[in-house]
Amino acid sequence: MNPDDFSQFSRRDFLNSSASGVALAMAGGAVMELTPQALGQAQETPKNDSTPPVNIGVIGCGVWGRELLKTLATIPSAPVVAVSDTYPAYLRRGLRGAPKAKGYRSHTELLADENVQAVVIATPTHQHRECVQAALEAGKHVYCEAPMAHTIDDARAIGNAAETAPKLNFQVGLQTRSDPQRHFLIEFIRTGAMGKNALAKGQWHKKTSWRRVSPNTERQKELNWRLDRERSLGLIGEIGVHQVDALGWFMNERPVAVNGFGSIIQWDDGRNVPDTIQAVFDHPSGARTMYDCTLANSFDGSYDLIYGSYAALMMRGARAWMFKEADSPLLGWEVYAKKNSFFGETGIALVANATKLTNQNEDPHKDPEGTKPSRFHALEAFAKNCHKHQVAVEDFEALFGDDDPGALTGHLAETNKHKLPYATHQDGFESVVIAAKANEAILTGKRIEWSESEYHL
Amino acid sequence: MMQTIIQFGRALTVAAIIVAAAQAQAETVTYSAKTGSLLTISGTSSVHDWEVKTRLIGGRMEWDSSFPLDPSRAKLPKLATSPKVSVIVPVRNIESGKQRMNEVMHGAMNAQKHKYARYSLKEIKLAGKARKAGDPILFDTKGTLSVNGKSAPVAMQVTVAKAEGDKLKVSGKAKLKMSQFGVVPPSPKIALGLIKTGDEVIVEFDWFVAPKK
Repeated sequence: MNPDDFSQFSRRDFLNSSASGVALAMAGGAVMELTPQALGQAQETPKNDSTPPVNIGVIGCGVWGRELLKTLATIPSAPVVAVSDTYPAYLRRGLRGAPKAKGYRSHTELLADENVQAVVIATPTHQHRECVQAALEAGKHVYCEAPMAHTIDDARAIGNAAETAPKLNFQVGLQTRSDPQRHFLIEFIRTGAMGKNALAKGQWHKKTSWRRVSPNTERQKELNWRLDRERSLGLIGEIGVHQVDALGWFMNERPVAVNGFGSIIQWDDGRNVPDTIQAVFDHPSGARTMYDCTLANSFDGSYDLIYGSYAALMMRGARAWMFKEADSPLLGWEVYAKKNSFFGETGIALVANATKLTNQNEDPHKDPEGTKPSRFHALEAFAKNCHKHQVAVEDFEALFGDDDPGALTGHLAETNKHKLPYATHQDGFESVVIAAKANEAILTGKRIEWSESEYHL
Repeated sequence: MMQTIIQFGRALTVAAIIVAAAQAQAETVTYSAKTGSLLTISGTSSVHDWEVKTRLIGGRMEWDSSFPLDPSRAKLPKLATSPKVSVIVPVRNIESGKQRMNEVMHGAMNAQKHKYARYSLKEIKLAGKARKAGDPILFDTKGTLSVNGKSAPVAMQVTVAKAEGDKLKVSGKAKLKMSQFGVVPPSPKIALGLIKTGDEVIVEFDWFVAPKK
C-alpha cells in the first residue's frame, strides 16, 4: 500500500463543495505555491542518460510488485531481467509487466541468476528479512520495500545485514526521501522560514476493504497478511510509515512517545487489525504529530501538514503551499512567487480546514503535468546509486586492493554523500521502530514511551 | 709469487668495486599510492565556472636510491637516473556533486570505455631554485597523459614535500585543453538554454605516496 495511490483523489472534485481559504483569510497572509520555479531555480532538461544500466530482479509480483514493474519499465538504467513469485498466477502477471525477464518460482532461484545485479523486494512485509539476508549474501544490491519489516527485531536484523555488506548498495522504499519536490521543500524549511514546530498532521482516507479475494481458503489467508496482526503492523505500518517518516524528516525530530487508538468500524470480517486508527506522537521539542488513517471513508484523501510559528506548509500529492502568519518575517522572494487565490466562505466552521481550498485559475488538487510519482524517483535513484556504488568499489580495489576495508569504508562514505537522495537502512530501521511503537499503542490503548537510544541499530 | 698475489688482490678489489657499483645501481625505492589524495579539475563555461574532484589517485614511483627523495635534506645529489612514474586516475570517480553534470562529464570523457586516465613520466630534472632542509623538492617534468584513449604531452613543475609518517606529498598543476584528448567540451541543454563549456582546464593534484614495504 502506498500513499501514491492517492492521486486518485483528484477525481473527487471538492471544489464543487463549499470550500474556503479560511486559514488564508484568518492569517491575512498570502498562499504561495512552493515550486523550484517560484524561487527562480532553473530546472535541467535531461538528455539521454549515459549511466550504464544495472540489471534488476523483482522479488514479489503482487499488486505492488507489478506497480513497481510498470515504473521500472520507464527507467532506462533499471532494466528488469528477472522476476519471481511463489504463486504461479502472479508470476505470469509479473512476466507480462517485464516480457524480457526470466521468471522464477522462488527468490532463491532468482538470486542464483548471475545476470541479476540488484533486487527489488516487494514481498509481504513479514518475508522481507529472509529475502534481504539471502540477497545480500548472494552479492546483490537491495531495494527493500517499506515498511522494512513488521517487527523491530526483523528491522534490526535487516539493518545489521546491510551494515555488514558495505560493498553493496542498500535502499529502503521510503520513496518520499527520493522525491525532488520534497527535497526542494526541505531546503526551504531548513532556512527556518516556518518558525518553531508546533503541530504536524497527516492523514490517509480511502473507503476500501484492503481484503484480497481468492476462492482458495489457504490462498486467502496468505494474501491477507495485512489483516493479521501477527504478520502486519496494520495501517500505521503499511501506510502511515511513509507519511510519519516524511513528517519527522521535515520537522527534523523523531518522536519519543505515542498514544494510539484503533477500531474496526466498517470491515468486521474476521480481521484483527483495526480499519480506522489514530496516533499522536510526541516529539522532544513538545510538538506533536497527529496521524489518522481509515478504510471507512474517502473524504479528503491524503495530505501532510506542518504548522510552524511563522507558517504552515501543506503537501498534497506533488504540490505544496505555504500559509504565512501575519507576523512572520518577509522572505523577499514571496513578492514575486506564484500565488493561488482562495476565497473564504462563512458558515463553514465545521470544515474549517486548510485542505479544502479552491482557486480561480487552476485545480489545486491536480499534480502539475509531467509529474512523476515518488516511486519513480526512488527506483531511479536506486539504479543510479547501485552503479555509483559498484564503480566506487571497483575503482578503489583496482588502485589499492582489498587489504584495507577501513579505507574502502571511508571511500564509500564519501561516495554516499554524492548519491541521489534515498532512504538508508538506518532510516528504514527508525521508521519501523516508530510504526511498531504506534501499533502497540493502537492495539493496547496504552501510551508507549521510548528513548532516543532505541533508534540505534 | 708476491707479484701474483698483489695482482690477484687488485683484481679482486676491482671486481668488488664493480659488483658494489652494480648493486648500488640496481637498488630502487618503490613508492606506492596511498589514500587521501586529491585531484581537482577546474574549468569555465558560458554560465559559470566549475570544479570537479576525485580522491582516488593510484600508481607508483620507482626512484634510484642514488637520489634520496628526502625533502628533509638540505643538500641533494645530482639526479643521475630518471625515476619511473606512472599514475592512474579512475575517470568514473571524478565527481561534480551533481548527478546530471556527472553524466554529461563521464559521457564526454567516454568513461565507460576508457575507465582510467594514465600519466607516465618521460623527463625530469631538478629545478634550479635554492632550497633549505624541509622545503619541498622542486622538479621540472615532462610526461604523457592519456585520456579518452588519446595521449598528449604535459609539462609541469612538481613538488615533493614531506607528509605524515613516511608519506610524501607529490603536487603539481597543469593547464590542458579537453580537445587535446579528443574530448569535445560539453554543451548540455538546460532550462536556461545551452551551456557551452570552455576547452581549457586546470588540473591540480596532491598525490600521497609512501615507500612500499
